[in-house]
Amino acid sequence: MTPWLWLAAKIGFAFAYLVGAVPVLIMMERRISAFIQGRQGPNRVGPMGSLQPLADIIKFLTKEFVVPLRADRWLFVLSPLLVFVPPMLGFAVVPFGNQYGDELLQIANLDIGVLFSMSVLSLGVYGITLGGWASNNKYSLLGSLRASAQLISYELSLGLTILLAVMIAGTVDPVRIVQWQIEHGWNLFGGGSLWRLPLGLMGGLLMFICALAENNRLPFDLAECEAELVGGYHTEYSSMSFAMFFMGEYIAMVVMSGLITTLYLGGWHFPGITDPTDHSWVGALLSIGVFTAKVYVLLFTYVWVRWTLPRFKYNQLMDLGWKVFLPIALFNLAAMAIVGVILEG
Amino acid sequence: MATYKVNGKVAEAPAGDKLLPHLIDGGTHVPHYCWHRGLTPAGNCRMCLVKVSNSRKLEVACMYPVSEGLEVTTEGPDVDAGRQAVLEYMLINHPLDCPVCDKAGECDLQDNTFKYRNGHSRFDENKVIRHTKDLGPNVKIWGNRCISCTRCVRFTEEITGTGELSIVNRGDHSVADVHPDVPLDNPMSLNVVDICPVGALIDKNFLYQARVWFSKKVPSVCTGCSRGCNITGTVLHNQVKRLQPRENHDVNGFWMCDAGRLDHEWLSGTDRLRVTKGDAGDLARRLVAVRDRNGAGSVAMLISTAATVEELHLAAKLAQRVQAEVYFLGKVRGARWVSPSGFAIETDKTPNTRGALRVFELDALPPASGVVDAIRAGRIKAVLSINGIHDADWPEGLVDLAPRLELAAALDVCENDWTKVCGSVLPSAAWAEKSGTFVNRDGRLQRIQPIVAATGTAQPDVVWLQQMLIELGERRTAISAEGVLREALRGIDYRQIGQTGVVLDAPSAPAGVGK
Amino acid sequence: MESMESTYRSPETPRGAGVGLRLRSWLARLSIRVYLPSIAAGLAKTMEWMVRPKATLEYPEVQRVSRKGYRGEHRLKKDDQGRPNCVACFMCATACPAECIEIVAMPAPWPDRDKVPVSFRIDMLKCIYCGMCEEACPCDAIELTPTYTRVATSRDEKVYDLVKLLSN
Ligand code: SF4
Ligand code: SF4
Ligand code: SF4
Ligand code: SF4
Ligand code: FES
Repeated sequence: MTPWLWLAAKIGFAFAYLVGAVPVLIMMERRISAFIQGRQGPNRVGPMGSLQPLADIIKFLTKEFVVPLRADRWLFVLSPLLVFVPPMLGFAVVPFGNQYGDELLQIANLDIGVLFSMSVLSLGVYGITLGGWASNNKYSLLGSLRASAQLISYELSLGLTILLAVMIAGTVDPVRIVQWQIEHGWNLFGGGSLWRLPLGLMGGLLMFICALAENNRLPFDLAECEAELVGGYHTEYSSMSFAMFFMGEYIAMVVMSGLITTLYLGGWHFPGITDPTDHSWVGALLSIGVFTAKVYVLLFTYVWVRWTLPRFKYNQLMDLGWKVFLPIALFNLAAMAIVGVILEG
Repeated sequence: MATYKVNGKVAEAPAGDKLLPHLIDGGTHVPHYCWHRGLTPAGNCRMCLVKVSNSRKLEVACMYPVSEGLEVTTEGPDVDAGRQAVLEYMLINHPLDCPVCDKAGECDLQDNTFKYRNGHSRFDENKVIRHTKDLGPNVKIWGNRCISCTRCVRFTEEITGTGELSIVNRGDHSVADVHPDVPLDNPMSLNVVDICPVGALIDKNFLYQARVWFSKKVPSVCTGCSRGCNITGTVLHNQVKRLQPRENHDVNGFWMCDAGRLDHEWLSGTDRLRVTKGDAGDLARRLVAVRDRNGAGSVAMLISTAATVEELHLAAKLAQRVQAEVYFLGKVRGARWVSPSGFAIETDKTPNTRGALRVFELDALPPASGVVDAIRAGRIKAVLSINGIHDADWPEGLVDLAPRLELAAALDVCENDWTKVCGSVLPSAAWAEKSGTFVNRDGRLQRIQPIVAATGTAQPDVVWLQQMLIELGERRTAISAEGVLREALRGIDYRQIGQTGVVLDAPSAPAGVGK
Repeated sequence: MESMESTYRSPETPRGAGVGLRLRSWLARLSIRVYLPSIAAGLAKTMEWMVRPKATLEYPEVQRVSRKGYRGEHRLKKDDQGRPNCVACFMCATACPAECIEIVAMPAPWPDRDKVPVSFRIDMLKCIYCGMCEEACPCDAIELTPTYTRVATSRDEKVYDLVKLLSN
């Protein structure tokens, strides 16, 4: 097969993987929230309610798309796309599996892949900010302002925790990071060294928490807040454009989980299940399976946390970001530097 | 005059008078059954027990004479104990009938039992069963409920003098009954239902029609004859369910006749007019047009003597405007019936003949038959009838002569042969649906008031007539019936009339216009 | 973190406490400030609920069995001859706070009874299912059954008449 065809196939797979995750997530969200609240959740459409997302999509598609009178038409239509696309781009550098033959199961093998993903993921805030702005509604605008401030604050800590994983592994190439973890152990557990264990645990936890904030998930979903903001940055959005925001949020979650998996949870490898040297299609499928399992465990945790914790106040959110997470992340990084020197020196 | 004390307070009454009426007039509550102000006291129910200083036992207030220095106690444990014992005795054989008893809600026995007893009975034996049967065309007795107070018996003896009722059997089997083949059918028989302190005697027409606590009671005046008995209407769901006499010693005492009492069933009848045919203003213009074409006196107004003073006043104005001849519509006369006690049922069956004489300033009313002759003679080209009762004495031939008229119009309450041939029919509110006043045969001005709301497009004649007068430029805006009365009788208003009426002029009964 | 202090009150260190107690109390305060233990506790609680039996029933396949004394739709009881026990006394209508009972009475066609309802209508949409009617009835004629699942396609259907109430 030519490299181009390979590329097209991998892009197609990644797209399907991400978009296909949305209905699953919708379903997860609904059923898990129901279970936590002692309810059954939607279970009437299809077996066990599995076709409920389909019904939702039909509903979204058949609803009227309303553009508010004074809205900025162009941006209004564009911004859901801006939310939708960047996370997809971010997935390009995530190795979602081992290798089939000579072909890495990663769309783009960039040696600065981690940096790339960081940069595109933060683009998502544009969609939210512009959406709120274009709605010409002060509540939407407030929602999007909150979202951007929050994203910027947490981006810092997120970056520092990513850097921690990079420092542990000693590389910014995601594939090599995974490789390093296969050889030494998960970054979450300090990559096999007891010295690094507390740092790795701290880093992994911080990264997950910052990911919650990055994805606007509870307890950090300040950008949408029925009580104060009517809805949030998407108040004025209806039908499919609203669904785009919705899907963008879920896809961002999947990508972020993929990133955490890659950086801290040993990527597509699980000892005893996958064999890094097995480049057959069986090995490739197994590695994709392991990757998916890890991602969904994280996604489950996302949902679980959402239905457990209440929303923070905005000042608490900011306090937490700047006064707690950032110092801890910085300290972590410094400690890592010292530990690294000690271990290697 | 003797001075005595009631519960420590000094009171005065003629020596030898029975205590009870004076106690009640003084505002003291004394429960009683057999005593009735309109009947001679019998002192058999023993409910009115009070403590008096002249006696060591409790005495019945309805029979005990007032004397100088007497001290009466109407409350306290001794008296209550006595009343409780009397009640317990009465309830021994009294059925637990309140749920199905029409008296419930206005029953003295029920009220007193609620007040004095604890809802418990010590009597375990079987109760005595007494008869339930018809006593006459209108009255039925539930003997089990009878407490043998003899009010009903005394009524038929003292008031009607017919004596149909008496207490039969002895002991706890005693119960009111009629003699065989002598049904309770005197013209005032239904009064026994009102005076029966319990639910033993029941008005068959009212049987199970209403639970009284849901209903509303509105004072009014009976329109059944020119006496104008004072009444209270019981209303439920905008329907008159029953009429009862209201005490007025200048007119009817405590009583009323059965005919008047039952004169409400037609109010909700199917033949009531409920839709307007034509229009008041238009009618007025056409009456004027007839007058203009044929000259003065070509319009006749046929006015019922059951119309109120207010309506008559407006009709008189209208008659003046259209230069109409006025004739009066009455009702078939009855025989005058006077009870031994002096209660009279009059021959003139309309309530306001005297009012018509006064308003039109006539000595005698031209009878309705005159209009027929006038139409035959070709003088009259238009007839407007104003009638408020369902059984007026319409002149013979009027309906057949209708084709000769240029205009036939009616303000009426019920559909009849005449309204059927009329081009314009304005539905009127009947007596129970409007405000107004009547002058009874003795010249007493008394007031009716709306008991129920008129249905359909029916309006009081006061409204229709004013609409016509406004069209003819008589007045600018319509005013209330009370305003019309003030205009008609210069200054007398409803407050002055009150609930019992005022005398307008000297009593010399007019004859009325019915056959 | 200052703002937190107003929201969450830290356990006070008792005056004159020993070292062990001081340490424990400090740890307790720390754990609250760090959030994580309470968050973990919260997550454990929600996980517990996730695996618990659900409170929701799969209505209409599964229907709740009404408890004793549940106040559902009314029924008028009949005597051994199939006649309504009701004597049309209006006690229920009098007691009813929603004023939803409408009765028309008539003399009974049977010699042993005085009064029966010729029409007995309850507007179930007005009814608040308080049970006062049952309480007021002197003849034990009206009763609230445990039935709660009656749907109707029009308002008129929810005005139950004598026949319906007797067959309930
Ligand atoms: S007469 Fe009075 S106490 Fe007796 S059943 Fe009737 S309402 Fe009840
Ligand atoms: S029927 Fe009524 S009024 Fe007559 S004796 Fe009996 S209780 Fe008295
Ligand atoms: S349950 Fe309550 S509201 Fe309903 S009919 Fe009975 S008394 Fe009225
Ligand atoms: S209270 Fe009982 S007996 Fe009386 S009307 Fe109501 S249901 Fe019938
Ligand atoms: S009222 Fe006095 S004995 Fe009956």
